[in-house]
Amino acid sequence: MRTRILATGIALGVLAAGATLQQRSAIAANGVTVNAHTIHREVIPSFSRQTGLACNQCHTTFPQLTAFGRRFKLNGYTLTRLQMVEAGDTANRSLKINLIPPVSAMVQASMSQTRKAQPGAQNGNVELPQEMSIFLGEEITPRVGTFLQFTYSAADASFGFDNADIRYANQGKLGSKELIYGFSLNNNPTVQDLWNTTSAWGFPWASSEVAPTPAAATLIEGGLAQQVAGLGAYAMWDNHVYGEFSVYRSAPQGGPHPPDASAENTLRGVAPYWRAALQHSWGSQYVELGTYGLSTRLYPAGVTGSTDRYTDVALDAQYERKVGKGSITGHTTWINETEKLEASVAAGAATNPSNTLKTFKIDGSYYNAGRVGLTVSYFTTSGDADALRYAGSATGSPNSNGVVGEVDFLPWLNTRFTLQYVAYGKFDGARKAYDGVRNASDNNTLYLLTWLVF
Amino acid sequence: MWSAALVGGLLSTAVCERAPAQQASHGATLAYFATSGDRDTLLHRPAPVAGTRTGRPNSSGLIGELAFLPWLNTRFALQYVAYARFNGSHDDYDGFGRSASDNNTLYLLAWLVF
Repeated sequence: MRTRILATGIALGVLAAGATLQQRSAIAANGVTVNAHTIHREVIPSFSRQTGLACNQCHTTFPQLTAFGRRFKLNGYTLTRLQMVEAGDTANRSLKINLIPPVSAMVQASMSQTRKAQPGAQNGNVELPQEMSIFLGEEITPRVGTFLQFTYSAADASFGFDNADIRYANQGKLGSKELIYGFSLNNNPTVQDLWNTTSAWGFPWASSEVAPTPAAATLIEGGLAQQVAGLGAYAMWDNHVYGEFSVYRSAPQGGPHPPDASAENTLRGVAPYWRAALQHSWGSQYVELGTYGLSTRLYPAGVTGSTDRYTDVALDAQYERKVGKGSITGHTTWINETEKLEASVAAGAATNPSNTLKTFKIDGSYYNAGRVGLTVSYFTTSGDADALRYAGSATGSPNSNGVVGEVDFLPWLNTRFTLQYVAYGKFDGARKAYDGVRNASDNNTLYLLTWLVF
Repeated sequence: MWSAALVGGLLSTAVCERAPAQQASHGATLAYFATSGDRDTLLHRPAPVAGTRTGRPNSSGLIGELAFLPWLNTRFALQYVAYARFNGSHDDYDGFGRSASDNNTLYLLAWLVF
């Protein structure tokens, strides 16, 4: 089923201020053709409860965002038809909050089976929950919305602050074309991103928490997640050109406050993050091309002395296409990390004063009308060998690659059942005896997941 | 931090009451505080930052704060705390060379309630 939604000329935030939802739908009907069942990860029924819209307005299959979902996020999660508590006049609300906050939850139950058990550990690991989250996702002023996630994980056996994205959005004109602009206060570089190519909301949507994973990853792939706070400004012009600039500073959960000699991986100063993207849709197809990156100076230990410098520069692309009553989506990203490891070398944690690390990932999915989907993905990371930095590798090499195959079934929009298999061609530098004994394929992982959001 | 924020909250409330339907409120708050008491060199000992060289508990200072509430449930504050005296003295209060003014604090806050 294809649904026509989304305004081209008038942004949701403006609509939300005055129009009824029916009026909004009518205005939106002259807009872009949007695939009505696609996926994305910040699918949270909080937003469904707030807007009165089913998950598939914003998600192809969660957590992948549709064009409408990207627009909802761009507009600061502000669109509501719940009963509101309001003050001030219609044009200038001094208060607009949901009478009942649209809270939602997520539960994941999973089983992981590696091809060979990890030394001395049981295989066939079951977790209930792998993660259980509570979300506060809602419009809190006419122009500010929140995405706040609190997560309990079985591995941590504790409940903690997870992803946070607090947005302000507004609309204007630039050169007679629509300009949606705003600010994001968030705690995970890329959590504010609109696309599913970047780490916070990229494939795999979920994966085993207990299976071994390669030692090397670029910093922007979650290395600072929930350990920093960032403030950034963004703008989307003419629904085609997107730009964002943010700065991040360490804001760790737990540990010494303020960071002192016992702190680890503390940013020196602020780390700039940038994002630029072009998007275009025609017929039933959509494509995005973009770049993003991060430049940091990190104290591996303490808050004085020399630092390690990481500069990540990345390219990404996303493709969506409607095929009959199903859909095809594809994502890819290439990340180049330059590492200047002055502090690590001084501490005996790295051999080379400078290393590079490159990551390439690509995934493609087909979902049919019955929300049964098949996804295939390839990933590879390669870089300079460094015997101290990659001490778990017999060769000192960070090189890993492999494929992920996944079958998904979403009997309802808010329930996902996944059967996933990760197969490694190379793991921490080698196919055979990568750590001296274990083969890359021993870490191949069968992963079964039940994922409910409500 | 809580008490400092509360000081700002009380005064800004008065600003809000003046114009309940106003879109945004701005407020400026100024506070003075002083704590003084008996000298006790055993109870109040020298220690870096938290200690006292003189054994006196005397502290005093000013807090200046600018607050902006674009909506009734959102507060953005810029606060500055300036100490004239900290744990007994103006200079070298802790016996390790720290001045009271070294603890002067710039504080930026975004406070959302919903």
